[in-house]
Amino acid sequence: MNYFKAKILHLVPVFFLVTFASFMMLNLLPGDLVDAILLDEESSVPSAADRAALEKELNLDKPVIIRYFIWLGNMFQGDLGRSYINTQPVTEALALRIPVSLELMIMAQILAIGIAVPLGLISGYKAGQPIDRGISAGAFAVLAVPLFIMGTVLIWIFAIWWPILPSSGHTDFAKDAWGNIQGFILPALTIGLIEVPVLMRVLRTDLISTLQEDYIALAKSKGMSTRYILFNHALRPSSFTFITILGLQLGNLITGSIVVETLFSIPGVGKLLIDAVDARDEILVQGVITFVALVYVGVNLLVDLMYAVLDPRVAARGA
Amino acid sequence: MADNSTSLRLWRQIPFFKREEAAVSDRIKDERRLGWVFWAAFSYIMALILLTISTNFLPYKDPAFQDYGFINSGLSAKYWFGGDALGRDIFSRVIHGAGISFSVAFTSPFIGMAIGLLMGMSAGYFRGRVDTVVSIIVDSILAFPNIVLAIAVLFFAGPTLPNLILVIAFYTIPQFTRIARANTLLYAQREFVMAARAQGASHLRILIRELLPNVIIPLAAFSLLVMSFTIILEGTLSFLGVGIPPPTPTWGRMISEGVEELVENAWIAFVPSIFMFLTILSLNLMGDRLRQFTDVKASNA
Repeated sequence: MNYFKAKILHLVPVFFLVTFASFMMLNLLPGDLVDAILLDEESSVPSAADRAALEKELNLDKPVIIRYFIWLGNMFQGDLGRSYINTQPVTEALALRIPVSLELMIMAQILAIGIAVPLGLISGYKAGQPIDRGISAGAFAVLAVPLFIMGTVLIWIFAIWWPILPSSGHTDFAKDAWGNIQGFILPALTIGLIEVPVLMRVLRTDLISTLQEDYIALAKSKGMSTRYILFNHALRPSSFTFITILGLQLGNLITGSIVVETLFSIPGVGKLLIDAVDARDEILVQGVITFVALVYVGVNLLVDLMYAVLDPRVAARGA
Repeated sequence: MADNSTSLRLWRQIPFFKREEAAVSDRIKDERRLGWVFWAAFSYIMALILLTISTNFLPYKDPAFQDYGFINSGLSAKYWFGGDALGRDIFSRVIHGAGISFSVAFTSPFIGMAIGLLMGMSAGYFRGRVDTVVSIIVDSILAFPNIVLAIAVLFFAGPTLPNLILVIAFYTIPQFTRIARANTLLYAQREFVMAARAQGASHLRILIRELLPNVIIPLAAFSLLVMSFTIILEGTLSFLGVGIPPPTPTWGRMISEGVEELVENAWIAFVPSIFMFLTILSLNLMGDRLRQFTDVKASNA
């Protein structure tokens, strides 16, 4: 139990650090804050009334630390400010985009596992043989492909050279379920393929050591088929590091969804962030960044706690 | 290793060599050699660096100049890699773009390495409370997903090269710290450190004269892998349009502009993509080989 308490207590300073950093970002803007926000909006000199209204909204008459706590209090009530371009509340914009990004990430993860597990199994089972060398070399090459190049190549192959999938756009799941899934295949595959080399390698390494265990030799001597042994005896004990890495991939998943949503014009949280950057919508950028950072911190904590539940040794070591 | 199997076979045919001896001597020779793959990767990187430097004195076409006669033109004698959608010389842009990638790749990792050495070595040498403080700092750095922090800093503080270098350097600190700490822990137990301590050497002297030369070797090998990470991160930021703004050509932006033309003129995106892929692949190959070369665990086992 101590481990869990320590982990959650550890979250407190990290929470304040992340929120304070996100809050202070606005102050990095060169020049006067109010001018910086209002000037991009209509590129004319803002009226005194507008300035006063914004100053009041941002509480600029109060000291920084008070402003931070007011902002934090509003955040807990689901208020991250509102966009200065279309006056939409930030949380409302986020709520519309979250399901899209979530679907993309889940599909990417499914595809990554679906590709990495068979490759890792073949490669580990045939370790040292030509097929393993081929797979490992391929994995090494994929490691050198940045996400956006992978996406570009996939678009060219599956949307232009052999046009079977859409290269951009998003259809509502409720309207056209198949169209919705089709639109997600290429983007999800892009993120998934990038993750495959790392996942495949850890599975391969663990499988090689598992296959040297006595119970595998026993299963073989009993005449069980290779496939049965691999999937029913070897896969589970070889997959612990695999699951750990899967949890650690979260940061890559966030990076991946930002890039891929931009490349494939999918209206998710990442596209919202990049569009806000393009439109120079300061409050929206700040809101989305705060949200993403908090989700990241929260999910990392959950992953840590889950390991402790799955493998009690982690908690024993950590306490 | 795979690439030396022919020489291994030849070795074994020499009659006065016992089989095992030949194999052992071959393995030792193998560990001391970097292999042709390493040198091929090295040559590619050096060639690209020389080309980048040559932009300072060779008369390349202006990467921002628009030649309307060559819009989306294919490969030609005048424009080696053709012209892009605005009629700009792709070859010249690729070479100039390499300059941005390299100026990040050759600065950020070393800033990160300096800070990582300082933190990792103090944590590994003094342990206890120093170790705790360092681990809290590292955890805080990792609290932000890297790309999001980079976007935020470049957006709010301005997309300038120094900002780009610093924010990317910031993200290389944790890895360097970990490796420096692990190696310091390992070497601090060794006899030569104890001998220095017995002679009354100060902490600072032990850290700098005894530990630093040993710890810096694996870090230097690792820095090649970090370079490829920084090139990917810089490219991603440029691709998203939050990196160095135009007219400076960057690989990331060239690719994002090329995506618009993908249907008719795919090479506009593919030329910078191939250069970028080969650069990252080369750095990974070199880094991987050097890491095996300098890995304490492997050589002491």
